[in-house]
Amino acid sequence: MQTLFRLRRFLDAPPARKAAGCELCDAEVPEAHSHVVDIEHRRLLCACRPCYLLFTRSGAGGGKYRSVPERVMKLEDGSSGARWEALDIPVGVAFLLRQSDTGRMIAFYPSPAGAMESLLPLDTWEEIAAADPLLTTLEPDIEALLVCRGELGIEAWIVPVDACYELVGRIRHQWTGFAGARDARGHIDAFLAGLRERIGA
Amino acid sequence: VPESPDVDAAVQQIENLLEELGKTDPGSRRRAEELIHLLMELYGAGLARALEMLGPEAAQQLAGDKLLASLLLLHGLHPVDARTRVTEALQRLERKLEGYRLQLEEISEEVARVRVSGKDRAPAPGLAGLIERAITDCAPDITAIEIEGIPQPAPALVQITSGAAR
Repeated sequence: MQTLFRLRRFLDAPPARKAAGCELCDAEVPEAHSHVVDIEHRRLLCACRPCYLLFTRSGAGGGKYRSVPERVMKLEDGSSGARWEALDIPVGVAFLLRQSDTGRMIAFYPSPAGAMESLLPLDTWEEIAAADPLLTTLEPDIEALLVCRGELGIEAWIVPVDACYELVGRIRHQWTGFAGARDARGHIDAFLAGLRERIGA
Repeated sequence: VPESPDVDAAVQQIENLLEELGKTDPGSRRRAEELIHLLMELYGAGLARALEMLGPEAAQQLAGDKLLASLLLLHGLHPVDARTRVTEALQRLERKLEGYRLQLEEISEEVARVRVSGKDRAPAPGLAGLIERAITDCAPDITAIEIEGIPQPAPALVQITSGAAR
């Protein structure tokens, strides 16, 4: 057979996208799986259980990867909301995340183009963090502070970073024209309801 | 005429690179394969469009070039049907072998059946291999080739009958 025909398999075989594999070892992963953050490239990788467990400790894998934890916590006192107003959040949702390589706090907003990133003025963050010691336990790169305006006023949650991307994805998917922000509300409310269920509230 | 690319070397290099990727990062290998798939589809569609616009006569002419013929075969665009291609390939082989007759008995999408006849003496060594090669070079879809009329080689093991005596 001509050597060239060996390329035929690329034409025949449909891209193996659907059979999602662990992005670290290529093992098969179930629909519901955990994620590992590639810190250097700021990328979320789908991970099988063994790979996930490899990177649960800080500093494992030379600090290149960190497993996304499962902690979900609602910060009480957010009801007044006044301190979050300082963040001036479009569409009522923002994720605040510390990046370990730069040490900076970054705010992400969902947008039709995915997550928009903006640098959070450090003094604004210090002010916010000073009000709640729980905020100092936020794990860099893998946990985020979710601030959002839901049905019950402004709420603040500590959430795994993959949950943030999930919400960004849902909002982005539905975003259409000027009604986008309005439709996003339904997603945000549903997402918050999901978080409440997770903590059994 | 621009110099022909070294097709064998290019294909080998593609496979080497994929293997390298697979060792360090299986996810990247999958994406690279998808990339190749998309690019090949794109150029294949371009080739198909070009043939359509040029018409059947020009297509025949293009198929006369070795490199283009291979690419057209790869993309399933060769203007000559498989039966004709295989028959012609067998005729070329016949002329080289002198004295054998190679008859294409049957050809389907995946199977080709060839009957060998002719000289009484034992068939040329490696005849089956030559026939297979001739067919797969011009019909990559054929996965099974049945050859009739070549005597089976003598069994390698001779049975030892018990109590054999001189």
